[in-house]
Amino acid sequence: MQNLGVKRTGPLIVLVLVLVVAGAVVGHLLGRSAGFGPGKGPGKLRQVSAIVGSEKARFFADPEVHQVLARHGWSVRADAAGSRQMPTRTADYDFAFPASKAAADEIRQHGNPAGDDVVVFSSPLAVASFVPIVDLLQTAHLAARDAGGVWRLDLKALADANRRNLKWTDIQGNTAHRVARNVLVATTRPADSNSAAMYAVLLDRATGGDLTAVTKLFTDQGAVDSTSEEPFESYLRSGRDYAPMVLVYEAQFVDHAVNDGLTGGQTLVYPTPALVCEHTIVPLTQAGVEIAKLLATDHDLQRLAAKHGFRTADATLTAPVFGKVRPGDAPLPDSIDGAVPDPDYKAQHTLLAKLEERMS
Amino acid sequence: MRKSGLLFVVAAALVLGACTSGTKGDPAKPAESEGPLLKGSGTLRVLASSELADLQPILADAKQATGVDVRLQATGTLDGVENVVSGNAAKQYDAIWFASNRYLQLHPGAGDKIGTATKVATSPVVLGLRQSVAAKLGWTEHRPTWSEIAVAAGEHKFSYGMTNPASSNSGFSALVGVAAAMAGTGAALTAEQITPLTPRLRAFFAGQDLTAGSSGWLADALVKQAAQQPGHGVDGLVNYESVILSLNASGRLSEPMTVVYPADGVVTADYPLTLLAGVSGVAEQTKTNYAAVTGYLRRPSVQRQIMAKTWRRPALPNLALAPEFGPKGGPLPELPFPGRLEAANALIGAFGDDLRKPARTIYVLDLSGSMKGERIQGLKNALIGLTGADTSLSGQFSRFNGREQVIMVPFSTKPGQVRRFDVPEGDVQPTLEQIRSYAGGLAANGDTAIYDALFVAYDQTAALAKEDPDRSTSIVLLTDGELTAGANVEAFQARLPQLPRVPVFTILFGEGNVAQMQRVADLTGGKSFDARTGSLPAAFKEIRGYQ
Repeated sequence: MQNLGVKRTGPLIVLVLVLVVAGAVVGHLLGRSAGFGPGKGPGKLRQVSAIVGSEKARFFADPEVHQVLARHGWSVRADAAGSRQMPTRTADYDFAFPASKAAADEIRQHGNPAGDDVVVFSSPLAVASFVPIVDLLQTAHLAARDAGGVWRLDLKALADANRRNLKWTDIQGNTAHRVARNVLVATTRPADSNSAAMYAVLLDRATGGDLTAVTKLFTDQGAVDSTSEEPFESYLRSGRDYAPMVLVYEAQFVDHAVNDGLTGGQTLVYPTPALVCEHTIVPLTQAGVEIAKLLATDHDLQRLAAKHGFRTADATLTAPVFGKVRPGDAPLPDSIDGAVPDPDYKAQHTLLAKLEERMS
Repeated sequence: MRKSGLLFVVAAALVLGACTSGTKGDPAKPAESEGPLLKGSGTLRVLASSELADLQPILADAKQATGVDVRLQATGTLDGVENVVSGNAAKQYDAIWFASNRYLQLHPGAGDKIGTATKVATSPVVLGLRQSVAAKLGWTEHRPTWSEIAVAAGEHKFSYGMTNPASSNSGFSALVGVAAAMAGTGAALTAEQITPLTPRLRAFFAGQDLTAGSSGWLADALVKQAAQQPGHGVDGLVNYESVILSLNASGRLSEPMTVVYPADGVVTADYPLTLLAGVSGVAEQTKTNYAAVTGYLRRPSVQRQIMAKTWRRPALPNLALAPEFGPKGGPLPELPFPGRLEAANALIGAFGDDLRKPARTIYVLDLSGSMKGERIQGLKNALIGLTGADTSLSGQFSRFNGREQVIMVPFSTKPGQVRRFDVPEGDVQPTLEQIRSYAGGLAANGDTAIYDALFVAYDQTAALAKEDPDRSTSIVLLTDGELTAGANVEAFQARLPQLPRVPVFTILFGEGNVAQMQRVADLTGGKSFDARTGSLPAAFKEIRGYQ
């Protein structure tokens, strides 16, 4: 069996397996007892609401997901927000579903959780780009293929190039993208969005803590969006006119590649160093506790998460989806080697506070 | 008025329904494969950019489909942002819907005032030019950069209209776009980069012969000019692509406009419908209503209708654009929007004080006996507010500008002593203080000789234009009562053909003759502003967008 899981998630797999078994038993019992009760028939669903990272909006809007949730007696309305906007917005929601453990910790610090965090699935940070752009990056010694053929973007080299204001038009022999703008990755606001915050963590690591260089890669962009799906949607809609490189979760790219098809030469690059984001539920009510368990353990919901590009603990679910996506004519990486560990809440908070201060 | 508006909505909804193949004319029935609709109930109160009024037919369908009545209240750029940041917007509205949230989000704490944002449509700010003028400039074949456009504007090879950046989103986006393109640094504009751009930006704005506080009025003024004086009005507009394409499609232009897509890029409005955070949380029903409306507006079939009706581009990817959308060849890069509040504010401030064509602003002010008491105090406050005493966000950017010529023509039984203030470039404070002390000394007494005073204002214009013609000239007329002395409106109309073309912005106030004030505004290409229910300072501030 192909290992599409992530190396760091070994203990997680065990945990989820335990939960799967436990969930199946509980679900079985619940199903039996609820068989005749209310909340089973159509129109008698228990309404819950969630605040979720925008990259998961397509998953929660999927009619199949609604069907499975309804089968278990639930109707979920998911409102999108940046993961780092969530701590002040959790009032009246049953659960928050940010894009990382660190973001979940932030919510937990601010709120009054009803249960333990539940990691539901994961997705590495990646950069959505275009074939001719990746070639230019190679010419500029900013990107190269690894042994498996996967394109990797060297963040240290990118920061070095940005320090000297390298523009696309400065790259030798560039006829493909003649736009006199600095070479950089378009992101969201680190103050609002987990993906940008995690990118800042990676840049901090790559530059050996050069906060000036990290800040410049954000401020050069000017004003940007708050949630990860917005720049990705602009990338899909306007292509290179919006930005030649856009920070995404791998899941967003895979979802569109598999479910909508990509025809404009879009391709995917992985940053070095890499980082895998564990999309984590913070339950805020008892219903949230139950839904979190269901999302993490229900085979159909996990299969649907894989359909939308997320890496699930059970690699057999992701294999049929990921097998269809070959950016740069290479398979998606089985595992994310050399991923930096999820930064702890405190270290990340200190870095981001300093970054935000410099950006304002 | 209200009745005909409603009729229009109904008629437009019928037309829309009739041409919506996917939904077979029934917006409540989702197009196949678009999934079930989320339902809400009640109203969603939205503080919105004024140009979104053209979405009324779509919103009528949305109500039928989702059960949610979306009510738009129009606002200008800075007023809207100020209302959100102060927390006032949350007291009256559930959501905001501006051309973009970028400027808003530069304000500290703005993020805590808003919730989920959903982009509904997009439109880049471009230059629309009469076909013949675009062809003569070679811009139907070659796509000029903003710098080339500025050079041609500075040489008066064409003229254009644009909204005031402090009043309207389109003018603000245009200013940001042209400045970002000219800076050419490859990164977002910073405050210190603005001053060196002054000569080139001045050249660009030298071509601006028409200004307005809103995109809708600007487009109407262009149509009116083209009809009344073919070939002599402005040659085009710097505005949203949607405004230019809508004008072309309206059949109101005898000569269609060519959309010029600057080669070095554009700033694009993305119309995020954004939930407000609320004073003490947001009701579940409001969140559901918001989700229902945004879900409806982003259905592929509705996105296509928005494109067909309003000429805005879909927010959803993968929807084919109509052939009218360009450019036909080459890229259309998105220009960076300033990332810091100080840079954005420095740009708006510089526009007024340093970059725009300087204004000649004539105030014809009724000081007759009926203005005594509260009214004259309101007038004093209004004028003093424009000298920098109004420190609100919108107040800061509507004060009298550097290089502006402010002329006061008070009147009662007869036109009074004319007073002229030349605000210098650079240190504006001493002159603003003079205006403040002048306004403080105004006193009311006597009759109301409206048109005699208006003639004096025109005489001033004609005399000053001989020595110093390159100014954006306008007259503000304030009166609170019927004409009781001197020439009447018929005499004014009869003499108008011999007078210089200057728009008169009239203020409806007190017992002033509403019909006559509207007539004067219409005859001169101006606009009337209602201060009968609101305040005089608010009306004076709103008029600043048109000066």
